[in-house]
Amino acid sequence: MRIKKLLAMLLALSCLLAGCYTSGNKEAATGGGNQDENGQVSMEGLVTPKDKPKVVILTNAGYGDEAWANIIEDQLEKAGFAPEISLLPDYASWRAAVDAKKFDLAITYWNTVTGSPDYAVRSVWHSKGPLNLYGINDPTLDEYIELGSTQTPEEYIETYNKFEDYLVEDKAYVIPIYVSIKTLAVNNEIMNPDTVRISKSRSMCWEQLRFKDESKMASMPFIMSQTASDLTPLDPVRADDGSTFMLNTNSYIRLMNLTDTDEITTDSTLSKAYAISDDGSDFYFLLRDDVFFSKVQNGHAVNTGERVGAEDAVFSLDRMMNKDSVPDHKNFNNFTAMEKSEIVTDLESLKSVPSKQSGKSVYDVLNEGAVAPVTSLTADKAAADNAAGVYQVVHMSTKYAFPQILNVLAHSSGGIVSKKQIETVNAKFLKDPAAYEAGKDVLYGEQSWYTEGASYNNNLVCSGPYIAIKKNDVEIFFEANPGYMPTETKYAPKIKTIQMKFIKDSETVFSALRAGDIYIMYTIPTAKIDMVKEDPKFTFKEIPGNAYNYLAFNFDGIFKSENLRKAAQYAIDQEQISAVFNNRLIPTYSSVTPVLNTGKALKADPQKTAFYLSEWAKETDNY
Amino acid sequence: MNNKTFLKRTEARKLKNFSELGALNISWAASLVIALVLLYNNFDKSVMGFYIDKMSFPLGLAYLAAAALSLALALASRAGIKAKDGIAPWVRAAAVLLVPFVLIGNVFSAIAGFMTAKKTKPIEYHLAYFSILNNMMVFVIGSLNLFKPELPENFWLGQGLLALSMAFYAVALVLVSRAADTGRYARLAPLAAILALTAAVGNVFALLLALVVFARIRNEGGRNSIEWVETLRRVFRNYMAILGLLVIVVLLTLSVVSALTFDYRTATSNDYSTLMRAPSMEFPFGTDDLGRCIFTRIVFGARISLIIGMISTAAPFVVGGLLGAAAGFYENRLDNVIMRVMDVFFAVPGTLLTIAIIAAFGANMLNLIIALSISNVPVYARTMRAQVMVTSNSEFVEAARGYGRRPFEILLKHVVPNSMAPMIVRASVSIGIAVLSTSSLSYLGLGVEPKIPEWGNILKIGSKYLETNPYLAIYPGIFIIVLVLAFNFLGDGMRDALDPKLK
Repeated sequence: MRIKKLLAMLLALSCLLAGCYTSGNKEAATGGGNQDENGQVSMEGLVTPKDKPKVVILTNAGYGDEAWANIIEDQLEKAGFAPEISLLPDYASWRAAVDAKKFDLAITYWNTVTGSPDYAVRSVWHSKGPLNLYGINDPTLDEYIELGSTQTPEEYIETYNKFEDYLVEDKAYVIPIYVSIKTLAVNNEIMNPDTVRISKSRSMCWEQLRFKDESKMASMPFIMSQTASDLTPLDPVRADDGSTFMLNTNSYIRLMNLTDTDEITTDSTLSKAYAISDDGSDFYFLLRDDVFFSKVQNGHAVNTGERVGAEDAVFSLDRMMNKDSVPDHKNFNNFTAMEKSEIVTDLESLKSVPSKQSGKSVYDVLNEGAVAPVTSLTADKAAADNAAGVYQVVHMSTKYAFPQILNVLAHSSGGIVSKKQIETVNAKFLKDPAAYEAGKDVLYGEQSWYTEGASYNNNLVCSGPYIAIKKNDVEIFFEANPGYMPTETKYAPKIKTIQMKFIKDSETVFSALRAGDIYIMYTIPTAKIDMVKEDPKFTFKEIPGNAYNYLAFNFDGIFKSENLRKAAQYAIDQEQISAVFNNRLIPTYSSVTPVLNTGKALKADPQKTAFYLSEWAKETDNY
Repeated sequence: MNNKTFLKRTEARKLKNFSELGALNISWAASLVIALVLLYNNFDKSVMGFYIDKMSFPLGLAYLAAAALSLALALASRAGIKAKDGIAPWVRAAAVLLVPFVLIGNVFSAIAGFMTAKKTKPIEYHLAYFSILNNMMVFVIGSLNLFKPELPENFWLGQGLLALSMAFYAVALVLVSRAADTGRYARLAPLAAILALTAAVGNVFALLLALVVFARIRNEGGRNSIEWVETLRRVFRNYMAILGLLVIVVLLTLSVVSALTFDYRTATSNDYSTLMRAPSMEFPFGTDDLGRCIFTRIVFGARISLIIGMISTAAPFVVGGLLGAAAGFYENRLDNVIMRVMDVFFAVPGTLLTIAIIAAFGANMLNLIIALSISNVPVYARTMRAQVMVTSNSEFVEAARGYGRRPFEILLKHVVPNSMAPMIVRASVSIGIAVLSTSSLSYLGLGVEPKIPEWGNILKIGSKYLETNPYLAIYPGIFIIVLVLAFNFLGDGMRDALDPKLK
């Protein structure tokens, strides 16, 4: 009895001493228990690496990533790594370092702009993905991706769930950091805040914008800003970055659109209705007849009188799926599933094809969206007359069942261009691609056509609600297309002029917003959000985004070891990172997590880090 | 009428002769201002009423007390001077009460207390009590760490050493004052040696005191006047200059002692549980967006600012000084070559040159120092050259030539030492400029790397939160201003002290 008491006292004393020790200035020892409650890792026989694993964190200052690079460095350091930040000024140098494998961890992000899970996974994680810069080559991942792409939403949920478990926890191919919340501030003294949309994936919708004072629509420009002033071409298939994402979205109409929560819709598209064949590989679009191309004349937008029709849609679809249709096809990889497209003229053939939607025939499904019953189809776009029942239908097929192609068509690269104008402007290239000289021959949509100065010769012909008038180093002007659904009250563009200023620094943009120099701002700096909320002048809107921020591994370096990858994974505490940004970041798991709202997140776990670090030390004989 | 004006003037002159009165006046005025600022913190604008803040209310009252006591003593001294041409002994005795106010950071009162307490004040006395004040300030600043949940490893060692040194300075104060009165310095050599040793923590006052004592011993008990000690005495007559020196020396000592009394990890390591805290006892200046204590960051930032400031002033001082001296002394061809090269440097804007160097070689501390130094070399070269040219024509140089001394010897032994005054003045001002440049460059992201607690870096983070959490920018801003002001005041004081016309 006495011995037991003595022992207990001794134990208590030692605990006390240990407590004193850890509460002092020395680093607290990690771990201590024998077994994790979940029984996942054994904490027995752990070793500490003799040489801490040296990790270079590649950071792109151009995206402002140094803010969390600091936190990641701090967390890895506390977990027993020897991290070091390599800060590069822009994407180009960041990419060069990735390609040269001069990194261990690279801070980067993937934005699922189509809102479809296939788009979320294919580019980066498929062994043949165009943005798989890190050499991930795992047949299991490829299988999941291929399987998911052919499945319906009900079916693919499980596939993608398995995919992300395998990607994140089984193999530790990635360290998730966060998903950001998109934010928007609208100056409600000038704008009608209900008409300014914030969407998960799609870009801003200009045609719906309305001023608070509706009498000013024609006389006052709508002013906003964007970062990039050097623009990629205003040609949908040749643009793939933020410099023209919004501009192309509003310059060209598409066959499909996304709602604010990423569901596909025909609102403000060229389609009145669409139908999917029951095998999921044929797609039919019933076109509307009230959209006309605009062009620039005497510095203003005018209606060309030429209808946007099936031949333009087919021409555009062919360009999307044909890699050689333009010299630098930036979006080809999104459209690889597409096989062919054509104008349908045989009305009867549609009646015999069963649709995936509600089991009716394709004809019936399309007819439901028509203003007057579809009585005949025409290949001549000038002959279309919806009110009289004369319609145009476009048919597109995919190589395999791939319903998610509709999401891809809703992306800005799915914009419909004028067949006539592209064939005129790009004639030299189309005739003999080999004769084309980059930098010398100016193709359709390139910014020199509409940049003020001697070379100004605006030859844009646009199907969308707006058309670019002129551009210089500080701003670009757009004007409404008078031939864009003129009778639709909701989607006819009412504000005549849109003035887009180029402002690089978000703090400056914010100042401009407060000064009333611009009317709206997306992506408000987190430190300023409370100010926006408190200011009655502004309406604040937010929506969880699809931008998945993560750390990519260099599998040829120290992170060849799965154990070390897992050690690093569990060292990153997403909650802490979010706390630094006013809890305005959403902890996440894989790139499909935000798209499918699987709600998973990787939890930091110091014990697991200690365990895997020990495993790594053992496997490399470094203890 | 005339008589009245005359009397007024003599009275004003009489009052001006008593530096104690000036110090007491500054003491009550400054204490009052600080007290009002602190008490204003207890005023809630939204309800137009007072509430009691745990931190600022008692502190405000203490400052108010210091102000009241200083004012009373000032009035008493004034009356005494007017009536009896001197301050009453009871006033001098009561003035000692002002000294403890240093514990709440009120140096103005403490200085006034020490100044008033003793009637005759040799330079040794000033140096001794400034040594005490300096270490006391560092002690008080370090003591703020007591409110932190964890104390730095060697905290008590550091604070203990400071306390010990203060006790020693108190003894030294008595001994040197007595020696100054009697003129018997001979036995103070060991004391001076220990003083010099304690100066290793950065206490320049103690070092100066040791040097003065050594100089007195060499000069047989101070019977002969020593030029540089006289200069020092004149510097100490200028209140603002000496306050500037105190600020600099406190920061210097803090830079050294912080190795023991502060924890560097508090300054650099993120703490996600203490993000964006407002100022409190635990975090006197609040915490930043990564949960780091701004106060600790500023303390460690002082080290970097002072190191960069001093090295980037010392390097061009030496290089520019030598070049200028050579150019001014040897004239003609050498002069032409050196000065034309300097002109080229002069033609390039300093900031541009600095940014170019950093852009080319990368942003780190060494490059920063090199960059700041290079752009300063021509300034010193010009100053030195002009002064050397004047001095070379003096009679004593002629005499040395007459004695057949070699030119090089004349330059080093006679010309350069007599041309230093403007150089010293320029250096003291340009340290301030270097501190500003470092901060500006860090603010622009061109200085030291973001994680290092440099004042410009701290300010840069604060600038993001200027509207929501202004304290993040205000405190580092104040420190930059105060340090630069301190150097400027000291520079002014040194210029006056070294100016032969004002002797």
